[in-house]
Amino acid sequence: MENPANMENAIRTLRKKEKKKKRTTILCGIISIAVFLCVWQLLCTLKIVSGDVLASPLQVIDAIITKIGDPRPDGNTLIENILSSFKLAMIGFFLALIVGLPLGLLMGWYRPLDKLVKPIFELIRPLPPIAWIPIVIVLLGIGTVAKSFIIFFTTFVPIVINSYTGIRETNQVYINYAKTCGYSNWRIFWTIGIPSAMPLAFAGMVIALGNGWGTLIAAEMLASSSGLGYMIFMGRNYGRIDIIIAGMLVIGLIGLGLTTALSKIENYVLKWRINTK
Amino acid sequence: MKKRILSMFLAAAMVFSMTACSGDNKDNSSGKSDGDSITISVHPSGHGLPAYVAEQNGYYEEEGLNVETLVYIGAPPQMEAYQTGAWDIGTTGFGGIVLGVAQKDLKIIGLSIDDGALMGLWTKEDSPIVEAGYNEETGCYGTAKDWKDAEILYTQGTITDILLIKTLDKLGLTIDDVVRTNMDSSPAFTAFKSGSGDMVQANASFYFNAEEEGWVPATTGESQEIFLPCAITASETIIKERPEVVEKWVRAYMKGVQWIKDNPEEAAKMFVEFSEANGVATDEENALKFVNAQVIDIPSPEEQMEYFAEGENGTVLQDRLAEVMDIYIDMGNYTEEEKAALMEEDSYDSSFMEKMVEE
Repeated sequence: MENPANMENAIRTLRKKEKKKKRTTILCGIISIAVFLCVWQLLCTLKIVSGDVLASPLQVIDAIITKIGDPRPDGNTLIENILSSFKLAMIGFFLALIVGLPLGLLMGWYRPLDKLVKPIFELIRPLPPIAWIPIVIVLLGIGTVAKSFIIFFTTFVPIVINSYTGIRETNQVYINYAKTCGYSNWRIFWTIGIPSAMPLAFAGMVIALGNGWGTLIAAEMLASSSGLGYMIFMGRNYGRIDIIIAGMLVIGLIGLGLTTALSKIENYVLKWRINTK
Repeated sequence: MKKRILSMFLAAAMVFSMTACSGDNKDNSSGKSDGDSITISVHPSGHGLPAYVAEQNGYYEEEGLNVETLVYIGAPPQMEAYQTGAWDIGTTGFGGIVLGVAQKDLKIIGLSIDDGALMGLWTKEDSPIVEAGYNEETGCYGTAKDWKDAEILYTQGTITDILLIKTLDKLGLTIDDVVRTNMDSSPAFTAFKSGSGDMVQANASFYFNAEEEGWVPATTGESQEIFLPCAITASETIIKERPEVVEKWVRAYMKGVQWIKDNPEEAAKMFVEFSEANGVATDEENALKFVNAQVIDIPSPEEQMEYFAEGENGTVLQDRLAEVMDIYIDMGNYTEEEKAALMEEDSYDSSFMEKMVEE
């Protein structure tokens, strides 16, 4: 039996090492982004790349700052576009979560349901979101529901797959132990299966959220009067390369922010994971 | 440490690779510049039809040209391709004129169909806009009250913007008073048919599809007096370095125009082929209506020279373009600098049409 004080010291050292590693990772990230931006700026300043082809980082930053209060050229300010896209992405994501998470868990736990649903799911799974557009227009129109549906399909698949795989990987020893204790199948599913599936299910949610946010362009391609994808389209129609790159950058930054936030939520909700490591 | 250096190197490499394929594309002569080879770009629409006719009827061979045709569904991809040096000569609408002539180095060397001729915002027969009746003064159906907050499905950045603004202006409204939903023509048509929106853009060949559906043109290019020709454009490089090739191509294109004028029924069949080969469905009956109503009116070289003649502030053509640009500038879509670039004398070259007139 190890001394608890030694254990605590070991954990403290481990945490310190982890913090240092994290700091190094962040620093490396900042340096590589800075190098990337400097090289990009240099290429534009020295006119190695034409301004018609690629706006410089400073022009893009200027476009972002200007767009905060200026609706030109697409008719909406940046904030309005962000809120519009955010609304779409969140509706699609939460719908996929509400439908996909229980479906994946139940499919993974109950074999008859798995046999029944899996063929349909496998059929739908490889379809790219853009392929849904013509049928979505006819069935759901061109409003928020229709666009959210496109995002729903992108986010639904990783949520189902990961929650399905997560619950299928539940340790059989725990299941057998629970059975020995007289737990019903439903109780085992609820108290052992679901918690076991959560780490993978959360990983699926992070992937889904990133995918969903990235599908905005496809969703807003359907029809739109606001949104970041719309802003990019309008930038293209009016030959504004700075607006196009600004839109791309904002999508990337918000996507990063969303997945980071979800990872934080995951760490908070699944705090107990540390005990199993 | 090695890993950090490697990651920085990869970041730098990424920027280089991102920009490597672009470069400065002022030299837009295509890779096929030997002899009389040329790459052209068109849309699967009325201004692209004479080029298709020239190809099908062997006019390019007659001129000793080896032409590769690139078809783009709209101006943005067409002009992005131009930026990469994909083509030398192209026909395009107003959006393409701004993106290519004002923002790049393309020059207008001739004109094609009138974009305003078959342009309309359509609504359903039972809509309050139609029920309110047609107003001769405003040139549209409905009152300001009917139009307010109406959802209009159309492709923004095209000449339909001008139709909408002119109509709204007559009604005492602005673009902020309606909901503008950006969509391509084909999905917009389907969406409107399925019950979305209050009005839909149906221009060119779609005009007759809308008519067939029993829809009513709430406002049209004709009623709002929009008259704006599409353009034949060529790169500065090819005009300077191989003017004889440009001349041959213009001659072949104008032969195509003449053939369409002489054979509208055959031309309609060709338009169906041309559209379907490029993923735009149309039928022969509507194609014939379209040819007769729009394509047949492509100005002859003599008529084209009238556009290059002196107008109020510049040439007649420049005055037309300036009027439209002013509306876009008011909307915040384009800038005064872009208008100034479009107004430069250097952006036009009527010498090829002059030669066609002489011949």
